[in-house]
Amino acid sequence: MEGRNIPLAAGLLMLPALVFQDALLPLALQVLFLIILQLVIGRKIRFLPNIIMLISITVLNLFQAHGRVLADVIGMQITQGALEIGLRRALMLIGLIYLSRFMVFRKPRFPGRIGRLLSLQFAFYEGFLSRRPSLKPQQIIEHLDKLLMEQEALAEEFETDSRAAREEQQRALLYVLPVILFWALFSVKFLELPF
Amino acid sequence: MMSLSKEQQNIRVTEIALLGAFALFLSTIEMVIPRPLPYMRIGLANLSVMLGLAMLSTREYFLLVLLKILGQGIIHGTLFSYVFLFSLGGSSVSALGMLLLYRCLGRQLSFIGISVSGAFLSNLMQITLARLILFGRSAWLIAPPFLAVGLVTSVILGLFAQQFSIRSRWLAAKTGGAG
Repeated sequence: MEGRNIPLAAGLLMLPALVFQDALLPLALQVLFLIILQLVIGRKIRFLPNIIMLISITVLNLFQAHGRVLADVIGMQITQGALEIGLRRALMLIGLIYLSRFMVFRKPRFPGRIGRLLSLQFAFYEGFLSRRPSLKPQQIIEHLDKLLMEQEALAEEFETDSRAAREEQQRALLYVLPVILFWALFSVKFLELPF
Repeated sequence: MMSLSKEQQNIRVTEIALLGAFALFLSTIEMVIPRPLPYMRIGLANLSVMLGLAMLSTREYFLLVLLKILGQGIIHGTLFSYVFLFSLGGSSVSALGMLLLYRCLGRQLSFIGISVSGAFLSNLMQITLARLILFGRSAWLIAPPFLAVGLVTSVILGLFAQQFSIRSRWLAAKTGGAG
């Protein structure tokens, strides 16, 4: 396997452990682990957008009442089920974003023309994810438009970077560690802990 | 047909990959949108496919659809599951239908009409697959609400695509203002 594809393979092995995680605390730990992983691979983390995303998604999900009523705020019932679903969705999204960024951070390369397209697609995808999200609904179209123009301007850089990236098969073992840790966090739920 | 120079081919590769990445980005965003009903999703990633209609050749358009399906399968971890089969079936039929409509009717049909047609074909294909693979004959019981929800969400997406095609400077640059 080409060295630059190893993070993608490692990420694919980690993905089921995230997607099928239904226990809230282990999921939060997995997300924390992915954030640490971003720092290890030299990516910057912006905490404020994550906090805003966590709060806004959780609040949006509170409108769908589900389960035991925890509180009543200005006529709206806050239910345990809705709160848990909201938190889980928010954490899942943040986790998936960071896992996706980890998978494509070495700009994976695949053989053939479709392979080249996929490689470039993932490079652009990482670019989209690394931008600060727009929080104003009335400006969504302008924001998406700007993102498209910015990313297209980086195309040449991606291609050059793709050619210049070096092999790193000898570091493959380093990627085994996050996979094992991630699955260990997934397995926590089978210990029947009270969370 | 005039053959494209290597540089022109590179430009096309960039545009296809960019739209493919845009589809992945939109499908990631969609995951956070609460669903009032099970299976109700807007299908935001199809915005990218609809933009492709306006600026890509037939071959490039299908490359984009393939990239969208493969990319979503890899990023969302559904590549080796039946979900991927549903995505493949629904997206392929929907893409083909939207392309035929766009090429045949052109400007007589708005993005709203294209979106509704695409969603209808996609949902019909997915119900057929569900009948064959998962639920058997009872799959048709879910067809009416499934198609009705698809109608609503595709109108929303079509309206958004229509607005995007009017206001996007990026698309205008690609289509010479004829998005």
